[in-house]
Amino acid sequence: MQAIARIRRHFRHEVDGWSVSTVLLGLLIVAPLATVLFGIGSTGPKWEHLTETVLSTYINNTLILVVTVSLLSILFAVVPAWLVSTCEFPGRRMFEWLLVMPLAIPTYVAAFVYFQLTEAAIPLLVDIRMNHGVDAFIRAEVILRYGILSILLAGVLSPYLFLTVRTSFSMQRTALIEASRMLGKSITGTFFKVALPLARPAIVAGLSLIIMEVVNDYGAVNFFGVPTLTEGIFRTWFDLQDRASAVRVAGLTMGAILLVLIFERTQRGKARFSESEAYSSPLTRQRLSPLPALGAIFACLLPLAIGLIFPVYQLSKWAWMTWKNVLKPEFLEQLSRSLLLSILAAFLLTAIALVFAYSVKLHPTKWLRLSNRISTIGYATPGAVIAIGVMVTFGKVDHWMGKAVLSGTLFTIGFAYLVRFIAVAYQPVGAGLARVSDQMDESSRILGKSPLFTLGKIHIPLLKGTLLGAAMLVFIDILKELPLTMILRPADFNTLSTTAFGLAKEGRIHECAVPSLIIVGAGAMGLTILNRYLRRS
Amino acid sequence: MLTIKEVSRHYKGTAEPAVKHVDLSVPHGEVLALVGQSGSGKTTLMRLISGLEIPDSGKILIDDKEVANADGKTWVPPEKRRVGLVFQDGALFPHLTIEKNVAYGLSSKEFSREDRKSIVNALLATTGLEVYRSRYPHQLSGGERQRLAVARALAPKPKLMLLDEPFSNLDPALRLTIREEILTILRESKMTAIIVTHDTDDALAIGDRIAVFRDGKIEQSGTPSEIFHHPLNGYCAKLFGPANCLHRKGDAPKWIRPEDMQLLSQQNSDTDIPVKILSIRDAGRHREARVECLDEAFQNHEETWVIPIASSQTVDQGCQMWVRETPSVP
Repeated sequence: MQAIARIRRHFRHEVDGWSVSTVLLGLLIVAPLATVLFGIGSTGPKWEHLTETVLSTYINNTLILVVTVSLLSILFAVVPAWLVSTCEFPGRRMFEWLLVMPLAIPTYVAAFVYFQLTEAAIPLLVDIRMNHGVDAFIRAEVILRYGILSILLAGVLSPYLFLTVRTSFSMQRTALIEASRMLGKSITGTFFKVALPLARPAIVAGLSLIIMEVVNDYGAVNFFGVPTLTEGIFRTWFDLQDRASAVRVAGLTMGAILLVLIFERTQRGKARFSESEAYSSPLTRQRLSPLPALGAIFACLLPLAIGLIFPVYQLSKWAWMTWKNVLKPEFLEQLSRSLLLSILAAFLLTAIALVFAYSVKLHPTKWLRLSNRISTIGYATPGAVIAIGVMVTFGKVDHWMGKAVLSGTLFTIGFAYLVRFIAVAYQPVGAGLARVSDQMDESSRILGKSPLFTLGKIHIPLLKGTLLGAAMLVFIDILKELPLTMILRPADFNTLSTTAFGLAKEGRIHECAVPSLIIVGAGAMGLTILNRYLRRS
Repeated sequence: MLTIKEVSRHYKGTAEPAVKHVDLSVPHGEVLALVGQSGSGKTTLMRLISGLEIPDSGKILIDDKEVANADGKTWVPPEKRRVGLVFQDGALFPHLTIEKNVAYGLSSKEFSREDRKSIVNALLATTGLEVYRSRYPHQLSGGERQRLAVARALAPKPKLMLLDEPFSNLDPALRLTIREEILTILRESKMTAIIVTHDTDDALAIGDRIAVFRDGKIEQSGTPSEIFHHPLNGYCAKLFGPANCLHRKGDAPKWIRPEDMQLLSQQNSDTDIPVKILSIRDAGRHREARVECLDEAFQNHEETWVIPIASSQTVDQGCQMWVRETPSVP
């Protein structure tokens, strides 16, 4: 009895408007994801048809892309990361930040650009068909499509790996690297014997981000005709009109992503021992002699050419050709309306992230931390899965209310963005709030001010820059988002991404360059903001 | 003014409670120095009084009004307690000017615009910060920052002020000045205050009363001279400097400061204790003798004592002398 009274007494002070709204909002956010996960058990009318025909194709394609893109990313990211953190060669500093920039290019935009390569290869394919027969032709065509798709995906996604691995290399204790070299290992030997094993958790973390993006992608795989699970969700929902089976595919996809997440977590736990003593003097970089330096420049230039230089060059060329046709009043009007809505959504999302983070600051309890961790799981979940979850959940609400109040509205898509991108805002806002000393809060409260007043007068002014930066990142992510927006947008609603994708699907591939370039520009701006955060922390 | 009854606080995951059944009362206008080593629980006690922590048991009353009662489920949140708190590093709001820092706690509901202005002006004047009013905290020196922290806490006219190690971040040269200044400010505003410190010099210099805190309990409380000259036990005695233990058989041990003892060349009364001079040391300010008690009536007669030697006195190593208690405070 005493124990219960004690628990109740302590709990009472942890339950207030902040913690309750955090948990309630968290539950709302998790509802669509839970709907999808529980949907694994249900079967729709077309499920058997699916399993007999295309489901295995979806799974195989997803697995093939995950493996090829991961392997290519390791080549594109790990070697350059090692080179820029341990060696000195001409252009090193430039490569250090340029190698992050391909992240500004969404996968579907890269797909528009690279698709022409498959067209350029047609004469070669015709030649194969003439000389080696139909089977060889089909094989060559498939290899070409899958190959180019893998390369372009790795080109624009490998910076995730580059970032995590570079951080790991630069945080590794100088002493370990130096000890290895004093023991007679060359710089290459050190890389394989010491640095790479130590960087394993970082590699796993970077790769899991890449895998999530590969599974999330809709535009690129659709364009290249390589249907993955995400495309499977689209097809089952829209083409087969089998909602229950679509939810089941989405549930399976989400289950797979959760497994990746759990694996990544276990790896991160093991990382502690190697990175806890990270604060040591920076590594003195080894100056490379001309020939190896040339090799290093090539190793950095290769992923850059694929992921950044070629796409930007091609888009600029097309944009120059078509900007007069595209930048018409109706396009601009639509653009400004969608930009306004995205900005609004970004600020709302940041405000919610601030509530989440502030709750934890006020009540640093395990249950609130857990609640926030679950609420932010959407960043790992493919957009199509979230879209299906939101549609089904809101459909149930509408059914219960007897009329369509939620489905097909801007609110629906805004809520889906909240589920998908709350983590993007929560991460920097939470870190920023944690940096403000608790004594600021305590001083304010003792001076007679409520938590809300303290938030408004102390924290928001102190974190102005962080909050704006977080809103900016969310805004850019909404701008780029494709699959979720495709599924949930109201009839007359277009974002830059859906406009670009629509133009490309209509075959007006040159015209999609203008909206694509705007997205890339915004993305580059976002990366610059992120870079500032990384420098500061 | 402040009454604490049987208050305990046990942090999760620690073996011992940080504060164990503490009873304490501070009358109106008194400055209490709460002294103890780090980890003794004195900061936790502060946080319990201010409302930043919730007691597991016991109750706290401010002005005869319950602000926390673990059994009666009363708990007044910190913003409603009217307690001022000064942190070790000031915890000043870095984005607000000096003036706005002081005005922060003055709500527009409670104080009119003119009142707020005059309170801020008066406090800036007493703390000597008028010239810096539109500067920011980072532009102040350590001592000025601490004065600002005190001014900010005083502004909403709290019933009680708590100062948590207010001098420990200051360099020694500045420390004495700031100590005097802050004490003057507290006295002028007739404030009831508790100052937490691990420095016994601070405690002796500023406390009307001193409470010695150890392992979550108050070991002894009293006026500075009571605490200094009549320590309750070895812990309290040694905390404030050297002390000799006199333990007559059948009696409780008694701790006496060296300066409250005198060396005599011959026995003048029955209470004078025979000792043997073991060594003589020049301690700069005076000389002192390390002596061994020769009286079998003492439990600890093998233990040595340190006794100051008067400047006129001649003392030789190895000879026998007598020691007399000359308490300066009865």
